[in-house]
Amino acid sequence: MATTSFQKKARVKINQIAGTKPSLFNNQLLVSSGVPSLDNIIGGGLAVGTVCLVEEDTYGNYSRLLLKYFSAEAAMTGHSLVLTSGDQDPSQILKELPAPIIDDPGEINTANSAEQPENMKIAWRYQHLPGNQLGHSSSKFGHYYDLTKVMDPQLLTSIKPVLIGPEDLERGCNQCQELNPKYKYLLTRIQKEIEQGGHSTTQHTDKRNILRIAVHSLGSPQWDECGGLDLSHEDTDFSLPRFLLALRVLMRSAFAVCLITIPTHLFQIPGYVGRLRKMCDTVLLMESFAGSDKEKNPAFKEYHGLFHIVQLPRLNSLLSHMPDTLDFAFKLRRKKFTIEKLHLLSELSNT
Amino acid sequence: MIGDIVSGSETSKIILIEDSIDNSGRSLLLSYAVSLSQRVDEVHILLFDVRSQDTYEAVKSLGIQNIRVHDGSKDLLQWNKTPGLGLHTDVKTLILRGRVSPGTKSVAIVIDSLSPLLTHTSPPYTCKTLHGLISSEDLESQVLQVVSLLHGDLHDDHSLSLVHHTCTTIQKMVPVTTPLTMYCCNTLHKKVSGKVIRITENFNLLEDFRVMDVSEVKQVTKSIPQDSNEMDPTANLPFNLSLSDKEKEARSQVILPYTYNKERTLY
Repeated sequence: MATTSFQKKARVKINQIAGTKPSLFNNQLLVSSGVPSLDNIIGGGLAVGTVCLVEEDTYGNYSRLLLKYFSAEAAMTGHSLVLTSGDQDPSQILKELPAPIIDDPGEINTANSAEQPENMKIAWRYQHLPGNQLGHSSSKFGHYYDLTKVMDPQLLTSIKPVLIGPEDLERGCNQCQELNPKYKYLLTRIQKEIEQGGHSTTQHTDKRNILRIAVHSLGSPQWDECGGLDLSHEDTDFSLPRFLLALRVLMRSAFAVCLITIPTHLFQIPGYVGRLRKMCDTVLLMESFAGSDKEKNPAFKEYHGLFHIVQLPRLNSLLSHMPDTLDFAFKLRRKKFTIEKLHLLSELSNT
Repeated sequence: MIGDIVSGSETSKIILIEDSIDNSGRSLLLSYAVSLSQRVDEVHILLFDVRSQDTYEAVKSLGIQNIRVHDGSKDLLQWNKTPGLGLHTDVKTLILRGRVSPGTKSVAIVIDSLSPLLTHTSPPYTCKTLHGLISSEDLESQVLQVVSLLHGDLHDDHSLSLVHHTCTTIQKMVPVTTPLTMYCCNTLHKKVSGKVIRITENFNLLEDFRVMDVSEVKQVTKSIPQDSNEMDPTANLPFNLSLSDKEKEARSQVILPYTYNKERTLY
């Protein structure tokens, strides 16, 4: 006996892009960031056409991990990938991507048919309902990864990632007045990738795909960035905010998502980081406890750092998504990385 | 920790020794040079500082074969157009030219000191130089380590933070706490695995610049009183909440309401 006789209308055939889903709140097209717990917090995922800024922790380890999850998600959903790094060779980052945990769909089917009626002791009302109903999208949204294993290189070569390393930046940049030459070069490369891959909204292709752009440690000294100061050390160098603005313009007219990590702790000019934040859509800050006093704080015993949502975008609406709490912390276990609500340990009194 | 880093059991690509006028780090730098000479084929020491003559004399007196000294302190900015080392020379071509035996596998670079470079050029240039030195592109052999000395009291915090961001190990010389040892340093080591270690240690250096008598300086902190016996809320209750085995079995036998039994009647 079914609990309800309500039947869904016949499925409408939507031309869906693999690995995306419409947001539950405002029907914006979303892609997964690679960490499902993060997707839940920021309202379902990263919106297509936006720039997400991750402010790095002091030693950059966890932000690099987020970047790896982002790139791994590209491989799993078949999205195109552009990976840039000024500090190290991007192929090194690609070699360390976590392997996905793929559960075998064949197993679930047999388990369903062989189920005993006395299986559930308390929720027995739901026993006879059919098992997990998969939505119309064939590839799942948001995958789980195992950090102890490395992703199969074959999965990566199928999406043909574009890598821009420090040598390419050094060779490709030309002298430029308004902008740091390396940023200008990166912008031209991204624009070229969007056009060549058919990701621009003005181009009409029958098979749409999303372009994921991952930029590692933008604004580090290797990018010729002196922490926001120009060569004379007196004036502020506005190259980085200009770059972010130009990038956002490019993103808005393309089926692309950009994730950038910036070591904002190196920028000591007041207000500069505020400018960078305003130029991006989603801004997240990772504050790790490594090497600081908070490591010894018993309240933070289980976690490896605090996760702050600095800014969430208002896209085509008046309100941004507001999570029910803003206190989040992240923990890196052996196999996975999760972002959770910060729970303080409860005190049991001695009465 | 410091003994491990100097001897090489802890790998670190770019090491920075930050000293000040009160606590000199030059001896530690020489200790690194000596230790590296035993591990790599060639050690190249670049001298930029005015006081580097002491280093030069000390190295010469040790008489180690595979240490090459490049003196750039005479004409730093190359105003006299002297050939040789200056602030803006490409270090790698210099090393290649000065190589004695071709086919060397590993090279280490020791810089005394980085302060003139940081003063005369911009911080990103210094960081890029350090980073460029560690990559073995133009050089035929592998650069194992770059150790450099930096005078922390000559530069502002901003430039220092940029240089710190580039280095994997930062050792800051601090005043000695016990009268038994000569040196004390605060080490921040970023391991490849991602773990970060911060430790303060006292140590001594012998005549031949070997590190001895390493002892950790322990901070005395007020300990937070731990509530060791956490109370179980189900204890000391006037009523009994636990089940015996018989009672557990009886519980599993209970037929839940609204279930169908064999004749398809509701309970």
